[in-house]
Amino acid sequence: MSITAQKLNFVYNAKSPFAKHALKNVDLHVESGEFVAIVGHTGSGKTTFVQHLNALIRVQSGSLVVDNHDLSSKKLNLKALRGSVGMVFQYPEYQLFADTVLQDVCFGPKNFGVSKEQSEVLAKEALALVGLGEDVYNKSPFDLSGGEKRRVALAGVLAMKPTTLVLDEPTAGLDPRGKKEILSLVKRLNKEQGITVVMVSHDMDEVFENADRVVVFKDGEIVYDLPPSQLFQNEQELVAMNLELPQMARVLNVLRQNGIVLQGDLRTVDDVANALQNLKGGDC
Amino acid sequence: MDIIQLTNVSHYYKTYDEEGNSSKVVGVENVSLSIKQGQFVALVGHNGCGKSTLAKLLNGLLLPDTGKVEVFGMDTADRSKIFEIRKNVGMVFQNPDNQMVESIVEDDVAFGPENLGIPQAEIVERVQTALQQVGMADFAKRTAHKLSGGQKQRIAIAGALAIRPNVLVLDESTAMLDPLGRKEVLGVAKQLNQSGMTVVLITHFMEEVLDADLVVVMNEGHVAKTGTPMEIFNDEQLLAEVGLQAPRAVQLAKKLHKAGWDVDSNCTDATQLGGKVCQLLRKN
Amino acid sequence: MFRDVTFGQYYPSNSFVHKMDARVKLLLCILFMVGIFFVTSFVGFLWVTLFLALAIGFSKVPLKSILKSVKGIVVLLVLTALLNVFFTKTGNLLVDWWIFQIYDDGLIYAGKMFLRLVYLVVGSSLLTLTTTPVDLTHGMESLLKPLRIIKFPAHELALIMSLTLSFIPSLIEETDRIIRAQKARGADFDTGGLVQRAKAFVPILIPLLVSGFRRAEELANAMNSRCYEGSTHRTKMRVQKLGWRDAVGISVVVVVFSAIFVVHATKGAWSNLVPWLYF
Repeated sequence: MSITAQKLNFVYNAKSPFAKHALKNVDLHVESGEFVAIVGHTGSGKTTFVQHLNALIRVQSGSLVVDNHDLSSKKLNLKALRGSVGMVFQYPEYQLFADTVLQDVCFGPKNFGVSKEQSEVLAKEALALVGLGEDVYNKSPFDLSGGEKRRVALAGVLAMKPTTLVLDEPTAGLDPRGKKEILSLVKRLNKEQGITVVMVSHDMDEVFENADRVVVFKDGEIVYDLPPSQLFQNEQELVAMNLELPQMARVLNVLRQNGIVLQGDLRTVDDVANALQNLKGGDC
Repeated sequence: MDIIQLTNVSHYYKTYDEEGNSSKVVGVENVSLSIKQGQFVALVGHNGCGKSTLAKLLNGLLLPDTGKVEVFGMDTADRSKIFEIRKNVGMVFQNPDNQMVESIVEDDVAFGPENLGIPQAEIVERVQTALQQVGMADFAKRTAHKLSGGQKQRIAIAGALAIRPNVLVLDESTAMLDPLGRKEVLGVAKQLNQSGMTVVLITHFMEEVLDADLVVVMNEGHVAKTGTPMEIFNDEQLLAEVGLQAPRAVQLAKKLHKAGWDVDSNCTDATQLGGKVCQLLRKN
Repeated sequence: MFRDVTFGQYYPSNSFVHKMDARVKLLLCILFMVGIFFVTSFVGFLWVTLFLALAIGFSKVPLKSILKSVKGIVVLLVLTALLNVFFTKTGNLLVDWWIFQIYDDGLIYAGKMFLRLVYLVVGSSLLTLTTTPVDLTHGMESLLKPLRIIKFPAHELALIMSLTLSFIPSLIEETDRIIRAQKARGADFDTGGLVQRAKAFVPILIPLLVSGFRRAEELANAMNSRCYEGSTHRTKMRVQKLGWRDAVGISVVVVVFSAIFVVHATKGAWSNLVPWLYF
């Protein structure tokens, strides 16, 4: 569902010499069903921001409304909020604890008062969504491979049937195959189930290929909020911020600087290759 | 000169099921490999392919079940030579937080030389030099845990360098870092290599192997292929099989080359590739 | 929730006391703690107060940080004082009410015990406030070194301490992260009965344990790779050299406490001559 932040401010260790202004007047609106990527350096405030979204960090000043929950209100229903905003942390496999995969995935629904039987139904659905079958139900989560563990952790969040999914670097530490699996899963959840996705990422290629919109944080402020195709045209500014550019965006930028503009929303290697091929074909 | 020589090396892990029966799991199987003085070798493959097992065989942290690993002519199975071997092969691991023995940077870097019983004055000199080599000389007196991931990992490298090894093995040392941290660590590795250090880089980021002299692709415990980066990138069937991908710019160059464009299929830089494409389009 | 924990409560400064050798400070601290139990008169306490005031002044540590550590033992202080007041049955009876009798000796003992405990805490916190945990560990290692003759694992003990020190920050961070992650999955740590709350910690403890093993393995690999083989042949980068500050510090403490010991030892002989010294 939708997210609206207005004039959100947050200061760590306020009133002490170590005070750190982590968020400064952050305004952001995310529509229901959008796929928004959040990028920026370590310490830019992006993690502080996303942890606000399910009230792991409480609003200090400003307002934040997520899915009709007013997060600045004292009477906030935490459980209801956390049920609808699923939060996937960095290296989520480090939160696995139960004896079996199925039990672990049931943990979330059970905490929300769902019966044991119904939890298992939800858990099995969630595991199926992440591409894990019956054979893993009774395995210890610690016996799985790295990529599988991460998918179990993701299933643990999906089993709560969230309408919004907040992911903090969901592909960090995975190999290319594992990365692809997680990304295509997130994309599928977004496209097929209409789940709103807010994803923090350092991998600009992955951002470029997947996000509808990219929000750039710097020193606690939002400095850009643009679709990827437009954002990465600001090559010099991004490089000055020490952010990498997606490789395809670099190719497109060179072309644009030379007066060659390819039509369409080009993201992947195939998109660019096909567009170039069409252009050449047409010219010849 | 071959400084590290692996001959038909196999290493298996034991796992136990619930009844306590043990079974063998392949770490690496029948691997033969030689590494030459001054080479920059990249070991790549997906998670669980055996590349980290291979790394740990290089300094006797693991011993081969069959076959032989020789470092400067010394057999790693010869326990009397183990410290001599480890003096020659420095190793840095994945998680920078798990390698710090002391909380102050210079004390941590001194740990290795202290173990070797180096006289005090020389330790001071070695610590200084090592920190300079990784560009962290100004941080000698700082508390390590407050530094960034890339900085911590550079300190871990300094800790290995203080032993004055001939070979530096980076066992997925970039996997947990953000792009900036990865650049820092990779930069240090390349610079060390240019000044004569043999470097073995274990990674699954294909962008990091572009400048390697030799790429070793691992799959299911076996060496699937060895070659130059371009030889590996050109073998699309192999890459698909082992779940790896060439960097996107390389993929695009190859696609265009295949479609009859006059671009160098070995082009690795997105900006260069863009420039070349512009030239070609203008000619038409 | 754990972010605010500070370790060793070190107060950074470049003061005289900070610059003293950790070993000297450790030894002097031990001497101080033993010595304080030989102080039996209020005059003696006056001397100790002067000494502490001097030490605190030269350490540049604000009095507030020192008093903070006293705050931690307030309950203990009150309890000991009360016990002394009510269970001392010598001297002149001052109050006799219901089952309570208070004698003047009781008040004096209580006062002295109170001062002793406060000074004990002030003295030891002055050590931790002016010495980094790292220096303390190294100081302790070199002080315990002679005990190696009787196979006392001085090096290993110090290594365990410094490993603990360097791992505590990342373990705190990790705990924090796991708690947040489980909270995000609806875990509730704040309501329910004791059993329920204890159970709620399983999803935190298991992942912590698992990651503890993983960390330990990687650390062991890292240490082995850096040629660790115990304390044999080991040298040290840090040289601990005694300076003029240490000489001054030792002299002051030795003079003050020699005086205290002399007064204590001559109690019987001199108490008639200079009774005020023994009040």
